[in-house]
Amino acid sequence: MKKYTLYYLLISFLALSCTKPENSISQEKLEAISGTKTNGLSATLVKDDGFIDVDLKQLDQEIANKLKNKYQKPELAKAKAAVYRYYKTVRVENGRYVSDLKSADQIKISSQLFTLLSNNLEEMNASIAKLKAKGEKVDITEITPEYLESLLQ
Amino acid sequence: MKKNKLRWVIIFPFFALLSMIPAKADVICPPGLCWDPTAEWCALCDAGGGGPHSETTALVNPPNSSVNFAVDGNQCTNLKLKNLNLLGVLASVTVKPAIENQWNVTLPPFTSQSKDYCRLVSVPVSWGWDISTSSDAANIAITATWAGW
Repeated sequence: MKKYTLYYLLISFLALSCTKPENSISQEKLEAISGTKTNGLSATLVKDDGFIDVDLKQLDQEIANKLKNKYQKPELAKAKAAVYRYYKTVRVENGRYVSDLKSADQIKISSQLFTLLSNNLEEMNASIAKLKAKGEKVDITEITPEYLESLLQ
Repeated sequence: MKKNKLRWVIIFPFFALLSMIPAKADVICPPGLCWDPTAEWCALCDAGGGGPHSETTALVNPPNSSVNFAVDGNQCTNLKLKNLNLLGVLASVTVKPAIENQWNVTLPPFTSQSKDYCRLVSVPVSWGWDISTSSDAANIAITATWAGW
C-alpha cells in the first residue's frame, strides 16, 4: 500500500508542477518590464543618493537609439533612477495614482523633472477618469516592488 | 484483491490526467504545440518554423496618436506594449475582428503589459489591432508574438 501512496504522490506532484502560480514573477517577466537596461548605472545613481537632473533632448536620442554607442545611455540611467525615486512613493488608491510628495527636494531630483512627473501622473488620472465616465474598464498597472527593481537593472 | 488494487492504480491517474484536458472551446496548446482541428488534439507544430515568431511596430506621439498593426499569426497571439518613455501613458487597444472589448491599460514609465488574443480558426490567423493613446508624449514599442504552426 505504501508503494501506491508514493505512486499517487508522484502523479500529484507532476500534475501540480505543470501549473504556474499566477502571482509569480519570472526573470523573463522582469526583463520584459525593464526594457532597455542601463547595466546597473541607475542602481548606482540611486545608491549614491545624489541630485538628479535629466537632459530630455539627450534622453529622446538615447531612447530612439540614435547615438553612436548604443550601450552607453547615461541620461536613460538618470531618468530611470529619477523615476525610481518618484514612483517609490506612488500607489494606486481608488483607481487612481496617488503620491504624497510635495517637492522635488524630498527625492533630490530637479524641479523641472518633478513637475513633469507630477503633471504626467495627473494626466494619467484624468485619462482614467475620462474612460471610466464613458463606462469603460481600465487596467491600472500597479506599482510593484518588481517594477521598481526593474528600473535599477 | 491485489489485481483489483492494481487496476485502480492505473485507472485513477488516467482519469485524473484526462480531466486536465480542456474542453475544445478553451483549448490553448502548450508552447511548441498547435491545435490540430482534424485530430482535435494539441499536436507538434509542423509549419511556420515551429519556434516563436514576432513582429514589431511603434506608436510615437507626436506625430501619431494611433497606429494600425496587423499580423498573420497563430490561433493564440500575444500583444505586448512596452512604454519606452520617462512619462506614463494610457493606451487603448481594439482588436479586429472584435472578439472582445477595447483593452485600456495604463503604462507607467518603462513598464510593459501584454495580452493574449485567441480564436479557433484555421491558421494563419489574421489579427489586427488599433492602438491609440490620449497621451501627448508617447513612445510605445508594440510586439505581437505567436508560436509557429
